[in-house]
Amino acid sequence: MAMGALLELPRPDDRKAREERDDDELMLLARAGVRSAFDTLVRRHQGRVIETAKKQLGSVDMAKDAAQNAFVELYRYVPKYDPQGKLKPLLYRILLNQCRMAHRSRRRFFDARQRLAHEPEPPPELPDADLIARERRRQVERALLVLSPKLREVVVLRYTGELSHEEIARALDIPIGTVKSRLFEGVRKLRRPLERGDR
Amino acid sequence: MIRREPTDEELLAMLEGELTSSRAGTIDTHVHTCASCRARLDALQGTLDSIATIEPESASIDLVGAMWERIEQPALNPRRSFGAVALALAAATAALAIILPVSRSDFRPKSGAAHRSDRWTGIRIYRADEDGAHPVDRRIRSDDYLLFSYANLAERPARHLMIFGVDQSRAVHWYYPAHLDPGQDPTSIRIEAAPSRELREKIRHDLPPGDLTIHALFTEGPLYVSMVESAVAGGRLDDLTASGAHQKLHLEVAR
Repeated sequence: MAMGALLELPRPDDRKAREERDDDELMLLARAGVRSAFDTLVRRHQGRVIETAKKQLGSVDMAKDAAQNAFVELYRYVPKYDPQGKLKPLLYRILLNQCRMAHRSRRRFFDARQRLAHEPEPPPELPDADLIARERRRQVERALLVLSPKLREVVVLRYTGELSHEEIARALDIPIGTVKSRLFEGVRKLRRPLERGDR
Repeated sequence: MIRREPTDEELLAMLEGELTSSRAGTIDTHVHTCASCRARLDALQGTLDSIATIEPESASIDLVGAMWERIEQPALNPRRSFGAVALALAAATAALAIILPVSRSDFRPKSGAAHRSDRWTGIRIYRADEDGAHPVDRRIRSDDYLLFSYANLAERPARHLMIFGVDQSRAVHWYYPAHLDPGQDPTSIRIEAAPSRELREKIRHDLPPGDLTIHALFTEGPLYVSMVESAVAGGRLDDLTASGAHQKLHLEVAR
């Protein structure tokens, strides 16, 4: 046995752009050690993941930390990932766990609704339509934070995370019927404070 | 003609695609002629659009750089699962010596095809004693201190490396990353493109006698120890290095 049998690294497969690959393909490439595949995956989902966390936590800084923790945790699933189109439920399940942990550690110190109340006013140069839209979104965020966590999670996963009913059911490990009932209940409760705000 | 105005639940069900096509068609026709229901539907759609909006402050954040820093962060208190480690001066002295005896004839291609010796990636193993470092042939003793060097000159050089041994009972003996604390899960070590770099620690495991396979995983991204141990247990080690390099060196451990 001679030592030092040395191997040549193969060329990466660039025939198909990373952006064109679906989540499963990117996870398999990441499993094969292609780091940029995981980058693509993170960049594909990070906007909605951060926004979802922000609507759970009421703070973009905490949302950023929770999202980053979620992607670090997701990376641990790379070697055992089963490519069956279930990345989003897995990612959002991890994210919600991170949000719950962040919420527990933060709860004794700060209340999210108070923080929203102390957010700086939007810059005055925004056009009226943008100001109105922004104010509307802030109202929605406040209303979301008043919802119970169970209802809020379903509503935010559905509309911010853009998960299907089936994906939400997988992410939360609940029946699809429960997803639908929580969704309708959540939106119904959400509309009450918003309608009061409209007047 | 609609018999009753749609409820809020029905409007949401319509937006969710949960209504029968006939009921959805009826409501759709109705809201085009009923200002009140049109306003309710618009308000509902506006609320859902607001929830779906990604604010610029969220959209502008890129997590990739900080995420890799976190993944690659070395353990604060690196542990070693080997029996004893001699560091510092003795290791550095021995490691310096290991580069010298290595000749180009040690480099062998993966296949018999023509190869360029300036493009190879792999490790070499050395046994360390008081006289310095000696290239390992096939046999080592169970209490030998081992040293490693690597070459990393592929066209796209690897950025991370793991070295570990797997014995006959499939137990994994870690060399790089070295670790002792079972509560930690360190990642591959960072490496650079170089014709030869010595890894400076002398590492000794209490190895069982018999066959031992030393694995070197050269990858672009870092791997966790837990990933590799899981892959070893499942016989899926090659999956981790499909686009990297996986070198196996078969040794015989004697008492």
